[in-house]
Amino acid sequence: MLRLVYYEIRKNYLRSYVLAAILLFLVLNACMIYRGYVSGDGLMGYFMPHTRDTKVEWDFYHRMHRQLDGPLTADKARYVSDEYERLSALTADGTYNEQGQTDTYTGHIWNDYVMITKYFYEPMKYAASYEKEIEQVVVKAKDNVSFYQNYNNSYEQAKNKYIQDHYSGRKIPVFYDGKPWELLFNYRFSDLLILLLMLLGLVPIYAHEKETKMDDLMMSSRRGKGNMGLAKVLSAFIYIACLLLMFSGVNLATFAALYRLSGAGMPVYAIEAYQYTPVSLSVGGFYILLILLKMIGLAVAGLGLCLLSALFQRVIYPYLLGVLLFISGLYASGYLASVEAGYMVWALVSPFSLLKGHELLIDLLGVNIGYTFVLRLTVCVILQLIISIVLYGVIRLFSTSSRFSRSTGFAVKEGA
Amino acid sequence: MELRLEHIKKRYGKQCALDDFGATLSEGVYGLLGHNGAGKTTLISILIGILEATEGRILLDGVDVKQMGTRYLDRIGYLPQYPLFYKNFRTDEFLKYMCALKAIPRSLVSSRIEEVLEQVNLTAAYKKRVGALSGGMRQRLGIAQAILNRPDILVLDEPTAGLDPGERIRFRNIISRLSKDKLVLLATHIVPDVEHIAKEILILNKGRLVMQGSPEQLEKQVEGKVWDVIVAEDEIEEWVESYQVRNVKRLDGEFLLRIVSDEAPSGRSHQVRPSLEDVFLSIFEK
Repeated sequence: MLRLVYYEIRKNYLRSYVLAAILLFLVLNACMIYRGYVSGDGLMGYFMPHTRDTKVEWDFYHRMHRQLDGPLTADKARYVSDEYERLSALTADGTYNEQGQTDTYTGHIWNDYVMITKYFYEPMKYAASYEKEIEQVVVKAKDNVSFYQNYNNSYEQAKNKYIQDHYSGRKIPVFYDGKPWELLFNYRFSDLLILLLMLLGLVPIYAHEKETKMDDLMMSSRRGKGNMGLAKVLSAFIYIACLLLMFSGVNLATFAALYRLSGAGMPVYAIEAYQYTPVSLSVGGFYILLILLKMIGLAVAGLGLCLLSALFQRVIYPYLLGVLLFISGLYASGYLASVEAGYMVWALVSPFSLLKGHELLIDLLGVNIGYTFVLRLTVCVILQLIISIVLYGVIRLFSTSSRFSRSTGFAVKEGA
Repeated sequence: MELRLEHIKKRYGKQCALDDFGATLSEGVYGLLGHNGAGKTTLISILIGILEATEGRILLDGVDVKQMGTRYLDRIGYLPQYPLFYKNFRTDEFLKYMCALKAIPRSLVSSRIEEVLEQVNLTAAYKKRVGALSGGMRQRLGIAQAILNRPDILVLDEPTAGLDPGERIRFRNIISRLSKDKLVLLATHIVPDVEHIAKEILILNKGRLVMQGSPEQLEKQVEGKVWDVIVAEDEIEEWVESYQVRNVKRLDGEFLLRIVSDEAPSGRSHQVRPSLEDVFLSIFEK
């Protein structure tokens, strides 16, 4: 079996045009991240552009983070608070003078005030007050449990119980720059490139066998008849996993090199946008979880492509239908936070929803299944596992015949 | 070894691609002749286990091949029609892949590959890319992969299609050598491919086995019915409409026609020794 998997990889993916496309897309991906870094795109303009004009601000930004990053202490909080108070008082006259001034961090006081407020005072305030804020949410949830109990609303009861169980005891003991992590979680251009490479590598997986007449040779040989379907699917998973690891690695390395990612061990709710996330993982662990979810989503999408490849004699049709599948799947995944059941089901059935794991986990998104609260993510993963089993079965059915009407003549049994 | 095909029938809806085919085959070359669409590929597909017959059974040495499972596939070598293989593979890589498909133990792979490449005279192309091989070399590679598992039954579907005359002769010689201890079933619609090497010819027409026998036996079927006649150019049209004209050859200002006919077509004609192509024509032009 391993030999067959190796040859499947050699046959379909270790081709010069596939390798060249991977290399080209990796470089393009890094360039896109750099472009966003320079222009300050993403997070609705939270970050300044990286230009010669903003060099002073960025130097100050990094200097301050070097000084403040690490455990969140009273001294650090006091220092930031004092600076905020001082600069607030200096700018209280409302003149917002931007003329060059001495004894400032960035050239003038107003700029210092904006920088300190936006990048340090507010984030530190959020981190310091999170424990108290979330405790209030837990208390409210506890009250809600009693409230809904009186009205026999099992779903809301279960939802609030979930909040009670998963949100209590949370606190942010450290201060790091979480925004670059948020930017990394939201970055999805690499997903598009992976999907294109999947089209390139997976569409020929069965169709090419038919074009080269190799399908008949396989079907008339012992291993070809028995193990080929599994070998092909396994090789497709390996290809997808390699693409995902390569692109995720490049994303991580490029973001780390440009934005100086730090605090991989801080809880993911330390990023303000994720304050109500249902998971209590570290930021690094959360990134790994997102990769795993993407792997499941891409694997199911890959199985869809394999099926299209198995259905047609010529590669052109699976290519066209594959693009259609991707577009419709991505469109459906846009409804994953929808409150309308019909749209939500479409989104959960779409494997592309798992490419947006950060959106599924940014807030507490659940589904009412028999008046029980179940995380949408859990439902989506289970649905994808069911879909993948069905797809694999159908692929086996179609791939054992090069034409729809064919069926195997002999039982596949070793040395029967 | 004996391969017996009993009452094989294959239907696609209302269409019958193969109708009550029966034959008993043993070692040696068998030519399976028939026009395109006669049912050759359907029969081959059933024989190599990629298509299930609607009716009938295949027995190998008295055992139903369905009972044998994949053990039956171990005894079969197959070369499909117009194979392209994988252009990005090297010859040795492709054969190693085929060894993996045929479940040949790793310890035997190298020796088997050397052995088959020598048999088909492709040793020099060991490291060549499949995409760089000529049509003839690729067909020989096809034979090489088919015999990797040392099969008892070798099934070749239109193996000489598109080959130049030199390669066709070389190919026929290879097949002759291989048939010493194997059953070789060679499907073709090109009569000369099997005329001189086949032990027996099976002629399929519209899904039915219409004739079976050695080339000599088949030729006897049209003995006394093949004629040569010399005609003028303006007479050709008339002759073609009235008789089964198998060949038209230009002579000095006149034309030599080869005709299959029960009766002498004219006083000018003279009887000639029949060939297998005459048999073929007499069946399909009826």
